[in-house]
Amino acid sequence: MTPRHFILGIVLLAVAVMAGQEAVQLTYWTALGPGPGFFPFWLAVVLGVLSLLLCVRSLPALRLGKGEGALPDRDVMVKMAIVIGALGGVVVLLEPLGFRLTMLAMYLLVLYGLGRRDLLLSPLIALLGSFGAFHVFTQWLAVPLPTGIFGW
Amino acid sequence: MDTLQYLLAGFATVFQIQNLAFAFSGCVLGMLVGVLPGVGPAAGTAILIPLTLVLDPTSAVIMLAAIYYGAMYGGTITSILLNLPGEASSAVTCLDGYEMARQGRAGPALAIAAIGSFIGGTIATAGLVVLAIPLSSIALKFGPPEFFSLMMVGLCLVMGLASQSLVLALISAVLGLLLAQVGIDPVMGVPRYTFDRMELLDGLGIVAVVMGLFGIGEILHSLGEKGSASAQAAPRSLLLSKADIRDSAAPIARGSAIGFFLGLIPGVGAIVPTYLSYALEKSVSKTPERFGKGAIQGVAGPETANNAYANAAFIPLFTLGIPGAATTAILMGALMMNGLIPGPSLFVEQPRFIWAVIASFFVGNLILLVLSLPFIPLWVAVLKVPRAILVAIVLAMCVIGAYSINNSVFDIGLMLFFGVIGYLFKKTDVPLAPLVLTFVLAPLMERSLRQSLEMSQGEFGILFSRPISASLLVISIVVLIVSTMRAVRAVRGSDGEV
Repeated sequence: MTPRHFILGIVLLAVAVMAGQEAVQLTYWTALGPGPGFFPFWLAVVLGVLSLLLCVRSLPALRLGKGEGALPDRDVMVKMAIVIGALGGVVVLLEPLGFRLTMLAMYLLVLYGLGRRDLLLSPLIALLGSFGAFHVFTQWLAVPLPTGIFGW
Repeated sequence: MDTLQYLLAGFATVFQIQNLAFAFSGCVLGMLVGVLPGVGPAAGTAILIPLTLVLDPTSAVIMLAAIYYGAMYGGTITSILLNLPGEASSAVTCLDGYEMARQGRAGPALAIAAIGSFIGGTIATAGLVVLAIPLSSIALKFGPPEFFSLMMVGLCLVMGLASQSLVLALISAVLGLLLAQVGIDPVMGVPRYTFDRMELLDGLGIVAVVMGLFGIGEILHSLGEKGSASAQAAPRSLLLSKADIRDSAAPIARGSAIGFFLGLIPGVGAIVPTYLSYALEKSVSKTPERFGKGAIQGVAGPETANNAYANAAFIPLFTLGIPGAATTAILMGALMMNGLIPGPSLFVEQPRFIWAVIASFFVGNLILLVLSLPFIPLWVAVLKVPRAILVAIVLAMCVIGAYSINNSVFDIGLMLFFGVIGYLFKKTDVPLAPLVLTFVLAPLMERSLRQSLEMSQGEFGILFSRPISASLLVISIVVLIVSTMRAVRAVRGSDGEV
């Protein structure tokens, strides 16, 4: 066990408490057996117990400072932020801007952010992956993809 | 005319040039569609149905069936090469298949998946020929109590999925059960954990969840890996060694049995046999600590079970007119569009047609094997693509796959959320397999239990008074004891903590 497991235990304990709070608002038992709240309640209880066990088990590691640091290197965190940010941007912009423009932006952000900074291949890949993929999916496979306010 | 004569006549029909061509092109198209994450066999089959409308009924159904199991194999390719399950039932292949690819053994992983799929599919089709009608009558005896007990067997195998820590495996399993509570209560129709979001009324989509946990999670994890710019180790060999074949033989046999018998039961779903096979292989293995680190048994068993299930699922469709899964329901629609009504009378009224279709299953499985093996070097070459480019392409595939589930960006957001969870779980050694297994089993279990209690007016004794249900519950207790003991031994053996 490492200090990360202690943090995980705390987070899961919070999840268990929240899940339990929601569960008690549902019907626990009916005339014909378990109600909608029965399983969620007991699952929340079991999760809470396991989370506490995890916290207790990892307490010695926390005290001794065993294991890797809780956070990755700065460089890795930047790359992760780029990927997460790119996907988050897709969630926000896909329907307003349309598939082609959004995916073009996503490709360029990820490629340039992860170190592919050439002026020819990366833009080409971005174009094929956005406009090309749109054509393949909508025309050949009849999978609808959003076109956005610009019709793109 | 007896069964053998009809089957031989069926082969004669299938071996006509145009039908062979349709089977071949169906396998190719199915594989290409199956490679696209999120576009699984069901969606892939539905997308390609229009292509078959211009064909005669026999050719159309031959092509559609080929698309179906081509798509099943296509999902395997991305699971092994990219840790990105093409569809939910391929997720278990990620556990060891991807690790094999990381060790430069993508070729053997793809090869054993193809061979196992062929053997499983052929055995299931032979079972269809010989045992369809008697086994269907047994499958009809499965009611809610039997379903619940069958799922209990699966749940008890969860302990066998532990590796580093039993506590972490249990946490993963309980989280999966809890996540499955999201949505509408299956009996009373009450919303649970929906937080007033319409999108959550149907529950969390399994495809978005597994794509996030395995695909996005792995991408985030790989960003921290130092070393070569390409995604994987250089391929060591594309061929299976004698040890690979020896280690895979028994898992393939067991996977065929699991997939075949579960395919007879409508409503089980393709994910259950693959996970059961994986959990079983880990439980019976003399070296369970190798699972999750590139054990070929972890690919051979589940992939065989997957394809055996896919072929066996046709049995309730053809003999009873009951589609066992989403894809067979779509195929049922295609059959009806071509003037054929699945059910007991199909074998009597349309024997030449149905036996031609069954013969095409044998031939289609062989075509899939012949098609997939030579392409393995091409698929493995994908691993040489520089990491940044591969990441961008995989992200785009995930976006399309997630969006195409419900034409909603909510599923992309869900996939991203679970991607972060998958990354965090990887950093804290929380295994993903128990979560996915319980997530899939929980809705079936809860619905079955509550329906059983409604049947018995609240008496739990119904689970023990029915012979099949009681037998399965006894099996589940035995499985729980054995898999727990093995898991404790395995965890202690790998210096983990119980």
